[in-house]
Amino acid sequence: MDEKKNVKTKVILYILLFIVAFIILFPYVWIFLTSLKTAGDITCYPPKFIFDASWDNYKSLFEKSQTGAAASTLNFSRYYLNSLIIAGFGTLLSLIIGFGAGYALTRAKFKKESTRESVAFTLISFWFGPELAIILPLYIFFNKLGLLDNHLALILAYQLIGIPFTIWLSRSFFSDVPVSVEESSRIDGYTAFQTFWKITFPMVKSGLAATAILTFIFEWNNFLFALVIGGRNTMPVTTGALGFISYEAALWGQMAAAIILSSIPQLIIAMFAQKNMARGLTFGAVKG
Amino acid sequence: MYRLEVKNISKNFGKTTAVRNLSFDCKEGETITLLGPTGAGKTTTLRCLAGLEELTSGNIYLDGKNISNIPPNHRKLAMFFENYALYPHMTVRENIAYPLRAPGRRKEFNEEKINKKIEEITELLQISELLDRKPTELSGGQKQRTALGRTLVRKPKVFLLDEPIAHLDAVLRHRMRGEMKSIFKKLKCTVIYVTHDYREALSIGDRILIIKKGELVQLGNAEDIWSRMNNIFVAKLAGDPPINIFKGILHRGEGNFEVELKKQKTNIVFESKKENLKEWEEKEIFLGVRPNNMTISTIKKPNSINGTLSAVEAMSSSYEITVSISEGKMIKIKSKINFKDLLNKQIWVNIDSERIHLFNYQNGESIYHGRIL
Repeated sequence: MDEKKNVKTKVILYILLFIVAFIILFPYVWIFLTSLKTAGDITCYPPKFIFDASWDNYKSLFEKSQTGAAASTLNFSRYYLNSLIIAGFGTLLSLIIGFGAGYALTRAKFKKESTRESVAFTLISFWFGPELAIILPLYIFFNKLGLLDNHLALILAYQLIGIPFTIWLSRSFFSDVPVSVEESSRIDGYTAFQTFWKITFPMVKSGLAATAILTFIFEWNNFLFALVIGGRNTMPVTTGALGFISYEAALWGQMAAAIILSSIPQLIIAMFAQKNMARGLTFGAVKG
Repeated sequence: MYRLEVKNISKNFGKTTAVRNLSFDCKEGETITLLGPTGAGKTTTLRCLAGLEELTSGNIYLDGKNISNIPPNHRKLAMFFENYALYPHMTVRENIAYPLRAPGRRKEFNEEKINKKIEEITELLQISELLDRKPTELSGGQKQRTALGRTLVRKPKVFLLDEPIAHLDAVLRHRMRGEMKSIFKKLKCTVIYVTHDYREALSIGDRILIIKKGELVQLGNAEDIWSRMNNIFVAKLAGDPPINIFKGILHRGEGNFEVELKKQKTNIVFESKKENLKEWEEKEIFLGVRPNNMTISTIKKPNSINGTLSAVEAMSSSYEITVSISEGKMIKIKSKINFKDLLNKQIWVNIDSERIHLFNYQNGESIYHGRIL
């Protein structure tokens, strides 16, 4: 009886999982198929599921002399590099500042205990406002500094996303480390910094890794800041992909190929970090 | 072996005072236990000594040197935390080696020396076979030993221990109580030991410091605390079941004194040559009698109180007997004999009048102690 019931629940579970996976993966698979089609196959109706697959779209992304008016101005490998620079350094800066601030916010002594929560809430509230609300002042700000179309400007702008997020998330991990463990290390003969490095950091490692990955993904995916503050030299893949649609033609195939390529870093990171992610994000929740 | 002097230390947290003007000194190789109820300021005192809390006022001297403003990593003290505070990502071996690998001790200890030290201490604590386990794989007793090992492995000037055996089960606690004392003597340590259990305090401490609301109430050896307590607070704190307290009036008889217990309609007669009792004559006082200084009989004897035997509980080596006397008041008696057949019957509780204690009715200060033990 029990075994039958088990099989039944398992079947239902797998059907549900399949539906969820289908909904999530369908657009991705569709884009991947599109990236392998020729321009004719993409637009034909009804859609073709059997076609002559080719990597031409991918190849053309990296060829200097591209055909078609729209493509002549595109430089995909440059966009890719820009994305890596901006999101990479942006994440690094967010982590350095965010982890430090998150730790300080967890451990610092406040005169009034409510101040701690007020500060934390103010920081996370940066996330509540729409990006559009600050994009104009931000544009004027960087324009005055002469930093438009500059990698540094984008890295700094991304901190508006990265720092509140890293502070908020890392704070929850740091607060799971018992104070007495750190105090014990101090008495055992270590300075505050050595204690952080030898005791606190190893204990929150997986949580911080999860934070780092999510920060990178948020920064890599940002569109609006890149569109307004970025320019020809600093265009990342998110805004770069727009270039495939122009007055003359829409290069759907190349655009799809660009999108697939731009999602690769996130996929790789997510695969490697899956274990850490799951552990890190549930670290606080299930502690005994 | 080192000497620790604490002079008038106070610690405030905002408007609340956790430790108030506390002074004591701990001689070389001496063990002082800090005893007090929950929230008395025992742990805060220990944290002040360790340097984890900044003093509001006062000074701490170690071998005559003022260490009040020295950070904890340079104080040369070792501390045991009530929750063990083991490093969860390290094995037992790494946990114990951690203080030896501290930057300040690198020259003193190479890997070979560290291993030898670990071997020594784990053998003493009988945890040699656990060296490669992580703290999550240890039982409560093993965690406690590991934490103790980490505290004892380097030879610090003073050991600070915060409730080191409070969370162990009864059997292990009893065994560790004895072991701790012998370990301290073997290593010739100067120890400050915090506990809320009077048995632990009295058995482990060379001297016991009793603290209430951050203030020192009494500092003395086990005999002082047990038989020459300063006030009712100490009398009630040490003793299980606690001391029985009666309200009475002191009278002078012929060559002796009498405590008249109005509610119990009886007089307790005792002899004393102490001069100071004069000033308490005809005044209200509290009479204190320890449960083990009372016996039960079925006939009336001198110095006895009438009551109903309402409960008998078997303890490890004796019986704890509850007798209800006038107006719903209960008294506790410790006895070797099981009086179960007298349950719910009228009996007489005889007070050993040579071993009574008298306290000031106004402030609970002690005014008279009978014979010791």
